[in-house]
Amino acid sequence: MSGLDELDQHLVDAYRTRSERMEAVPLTPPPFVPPTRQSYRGPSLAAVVIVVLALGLVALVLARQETDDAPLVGTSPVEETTDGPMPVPPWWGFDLRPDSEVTLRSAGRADGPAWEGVRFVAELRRNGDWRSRPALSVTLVDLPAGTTTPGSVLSLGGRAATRVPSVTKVTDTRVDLGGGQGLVVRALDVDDATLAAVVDAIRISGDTMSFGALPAGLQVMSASTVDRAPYHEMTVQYDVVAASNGQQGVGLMVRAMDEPMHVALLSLMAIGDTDERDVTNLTVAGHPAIRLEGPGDFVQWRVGPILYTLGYARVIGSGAELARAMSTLHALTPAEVEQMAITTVTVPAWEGPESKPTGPVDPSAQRRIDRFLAEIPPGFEQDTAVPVHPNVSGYGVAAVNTANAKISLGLVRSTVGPPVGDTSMRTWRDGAGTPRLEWRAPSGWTYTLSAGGANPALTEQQQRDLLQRIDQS
Amino acid sequence: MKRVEDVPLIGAPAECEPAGAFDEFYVAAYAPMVRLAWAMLDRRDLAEEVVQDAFAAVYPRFDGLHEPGAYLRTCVMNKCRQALRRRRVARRRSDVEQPAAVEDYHDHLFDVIRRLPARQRAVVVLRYQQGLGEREIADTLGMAPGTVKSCLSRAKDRLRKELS
Repeated sequence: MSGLDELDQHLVDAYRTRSERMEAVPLTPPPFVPPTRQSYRGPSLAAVVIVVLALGLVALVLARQETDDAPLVGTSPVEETTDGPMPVPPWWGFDLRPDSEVTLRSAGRADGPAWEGVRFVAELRRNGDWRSRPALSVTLVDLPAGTTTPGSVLSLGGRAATRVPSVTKVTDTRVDLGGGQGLVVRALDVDDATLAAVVDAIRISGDTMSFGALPAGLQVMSASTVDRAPYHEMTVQYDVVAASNGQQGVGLMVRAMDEPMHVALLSLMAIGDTDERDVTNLTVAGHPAIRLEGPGDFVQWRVGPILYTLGYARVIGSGAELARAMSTLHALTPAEVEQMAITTVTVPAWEGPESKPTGPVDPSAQRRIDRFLAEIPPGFEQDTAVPVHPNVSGYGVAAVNTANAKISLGLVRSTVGPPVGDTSMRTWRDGAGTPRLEWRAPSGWTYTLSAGGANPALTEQQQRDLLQRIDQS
Repeated sequence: MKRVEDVPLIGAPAECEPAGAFDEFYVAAYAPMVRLAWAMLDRRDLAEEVVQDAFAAVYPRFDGLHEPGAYLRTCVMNKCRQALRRRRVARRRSDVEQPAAVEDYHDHLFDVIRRLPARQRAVVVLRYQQGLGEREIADTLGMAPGTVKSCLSRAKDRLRKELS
């Protein structure tokens, strides 16, 4: 592979540029735990919590088979992803209408059972507020006779229990109930006497739990069977363009999930995290929420069985404009959060698990796209013209002719007002050598027009004229 | 071999103090592997997910690996190819052809690369983004070096044709 030809050089240059852009994006590794499953994407506390719990439970179920040198991970849980049409869960209800400064996309999936040998989960909180302490999640699990769990042995109300070592304030205690069943109790700010009283209050009936008299102040705030039915996880991502060239921006993601184990444990770990970080209590759409500041900050709230999380999805670019955008997002008020995630409007039909554009295209962008499509040269009007996924760069549209030549238009509206400085059109070549005409128009729109490679379908003057007409649309 | 009790109940990411060879490896390799997966999948969120899965696959074998970095890279590429296959299947099943969920870096060259078969795309990314030689690419993808050469040649032929 020695000796670079022209294409080699294009590729080397293009990937170098791309690598430099990627390296400008901070990638902080989340703490690693050997996961059996990662449900929450991204470098988040949530991801870690899920895998830690999955690990613990799998290990518990598999403990009977463990040997001293057994690997940590067990079998992978079954995961089913819906490939076909997927109805929007009735609880979703987010308003997907974008405003003129934000593009968005949504994704959803229905997963199969993530847990083996787990029957029931309940959450206990002081006064029933999910943000309060003491806090517990109590899980009913299969515990075959003879199962041993590593950890320190203790007695809780006369029952044998094992305390798994922890470096956080959240304690993990496994209790053998006999009869092939056990409890996994994760607790925050709960002493052993209270924990024993909670265990004493538990009534088991088959695969379900109920509670008798609980210690003062503690209330059951949720109780759910962990069945094998698919659960849902849906996201909406808002991309906020921070610079008129579209190369800098931030994404906010709203994620919702209704799997009871995840909801119980993610929220417990979230409030367990608030000791060491700045936390604000607020309400989102009338529901109690917390906001954690600092790296990986997020807003989290619950509506019935659903846990919502609003956090950063990604950061593109660097520099002063990006810093300004980040500051803006840090300063979002609860009301502004609500504007982004109001729970009243029905979502258009959902069509699949892949991320895809949703919501109407901004009308002013649509007018420009229509004008472009109306004016592209003969041979390009075929129905291969497709809207490009609205991304951080805004919108785009492309058409291909039978010779596979492509003509494309990208358009971005600045969120920081009209451009300052040079507003003349300029041409440049991309990594493949394809000429591009770029214009930061005084209107605040930035256009990038490509009319083909070696034999462009439009002369440069025609491209300039076309952009003028599009801008006036 | 680590056991359950060795794994802390993690608090905030910023509070995690890496310890041990694997943790050092994880911290050092995380960002480069995310960039590699990002180049393959065009989406950072999916890339991070894939890389997490890959580290999980490496973890139980870590003590016995002579070259954990190479093993990890292979895991990342395999999982990227699986993800691309799933994406392709999903797209075929939908009524309307959907453009890929491209996160950024949208230009003609990468448009064409995105349309390459997963294996060709993998070879291109490893060659030009990672700067690997034929032998390393072969080891990573489990191919013969000659297959890498022919695969790259076919990819470049297609790129030349579509970029001309």
